[in-house]
Amino acid sequence: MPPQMPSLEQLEPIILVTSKWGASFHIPWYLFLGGMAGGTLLIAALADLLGAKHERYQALSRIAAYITLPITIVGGLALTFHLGKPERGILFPLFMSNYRSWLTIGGWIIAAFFPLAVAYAVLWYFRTGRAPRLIVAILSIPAGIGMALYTGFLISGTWSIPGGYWFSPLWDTRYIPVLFLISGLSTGLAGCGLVALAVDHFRPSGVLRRELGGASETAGTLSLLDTLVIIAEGSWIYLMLAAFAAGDVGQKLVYGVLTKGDLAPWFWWGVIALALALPFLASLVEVLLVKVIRVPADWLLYVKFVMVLVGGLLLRYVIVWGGEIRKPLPFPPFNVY
Amino acid sequence: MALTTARMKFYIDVKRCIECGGCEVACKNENNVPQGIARIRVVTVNEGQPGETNIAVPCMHCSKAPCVAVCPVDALYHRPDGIVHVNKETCIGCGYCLYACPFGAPQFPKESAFGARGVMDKCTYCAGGPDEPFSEKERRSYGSNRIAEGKLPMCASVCSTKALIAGDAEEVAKVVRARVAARGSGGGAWGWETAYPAGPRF
Repeated sequence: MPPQMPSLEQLEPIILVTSKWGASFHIPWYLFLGGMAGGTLLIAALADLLGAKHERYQALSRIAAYITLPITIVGGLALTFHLGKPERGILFPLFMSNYRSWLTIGGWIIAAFFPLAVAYAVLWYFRTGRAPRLIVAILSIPAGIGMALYTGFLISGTWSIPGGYWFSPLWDTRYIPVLFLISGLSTGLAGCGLVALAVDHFRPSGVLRRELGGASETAGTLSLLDTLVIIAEGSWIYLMLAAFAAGDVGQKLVYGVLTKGDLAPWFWWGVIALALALPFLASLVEVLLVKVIRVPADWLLYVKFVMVLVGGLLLRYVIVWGGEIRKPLPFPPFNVY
Repeated sequence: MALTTARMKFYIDVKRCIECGGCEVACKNENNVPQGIARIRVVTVNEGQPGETNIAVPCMHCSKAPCVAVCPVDALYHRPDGIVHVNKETCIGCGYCLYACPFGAPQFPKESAFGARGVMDKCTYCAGGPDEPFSEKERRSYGSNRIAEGKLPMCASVCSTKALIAGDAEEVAKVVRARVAARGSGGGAWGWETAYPAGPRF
């Protein structure tokens, strides 16, 4: 008899979970917004630094710095209020004492990230000189990478456990942090592109209009970059699945549940289609329309960016739900007795 | 003989458990466990098939406990006698221990509308909590303290087939050895190789 793929409900009674991270919106949304905030701050810093010489990409850096702030705040609130005792979580420097735990390390990464995000937005808003902004930009690069990576390390805290043993095979330290970094960059680019398009479309008067005049061209550049990141993300997911398919019992179980089991529709339609395949297709069609047929196709970029964002969120949901799949504790086989 | 501190352990023999649920009821009754929470639960594997097996799963009070390793606020800790305790005064209810534990022992009774879950609640080995023994506060937060009274955990005391055995690891090991010798085969402990691997994974 071929082995039956157990559904998540069948796995449930063994793991006795009553209060999962995937049961409320808090953690998936935090992972999504945290990764995206890391991506946008990284984009702001890189655009600022790379365009320093010829005053290029400055509008992009400004958009990215502005949208980092609300994303960080909403993500931070989601993270805080998933706690059983949010008031104790807010005072984490007083309470968090176990520096082997990724939750503590992540608390300090967010504590470093948030002032930088605020400073970057404030410096852009008040248009102070370049020098202070460049200092913040240089500090923002490790902070942005750290933030996006941390969302992955949080759910794969293997190294803090004696013997490095972790029972959620999907939450693998070797794959998830990098996946979340790539996805954070992808969703960050999409978020910046969406805002650039919207600003260009609605043409607000005053300072914003002058600053973001070339937003439509910026969105095109962002779309191209995002396509490259999407290719990297797809390759990484392929590597991850290939490793799981050839892995131990728990990894094979994860591979089955993701590709054929309960999570398969979410994985194939939500992650593979919405976050990877359809945006890639949209880019191809957009290039075809603009470069060959020569008709404007801004609406396609809107669609693409929204798909990347929704796909990024669903990726976090799939990964958090998949964490419920535990490595089975093998029962004593019958022939032993 | 030198006096050493006992290491308190559970031993659950799957060849003896008959799924009567006595341990679940006794635990809930003894500790006033919050609604919807099971500090010990009888799990049935291969139900209705040949080789159906039952096993009671409490907190195993691991010596190298993954939950203790990941807890950001050190709310989880080992007592000198090896019992893993949770301090409900410092727990922030993040749920990280839930994902580290291979047995699914940590649970989170929701007490208020504030926050997505409550602070962690798990098997205390009927040893109360960090508060003063036999105090009203300890009884309300953690349940009874039978260890301080010199008794064994309630679940082990009521187990009708002695499938669930508790006590000093040395004494428990003697029982396991006697049963293995009588049966001529394995001790019937569940998932041991997976939960406590010989070497590191990476």
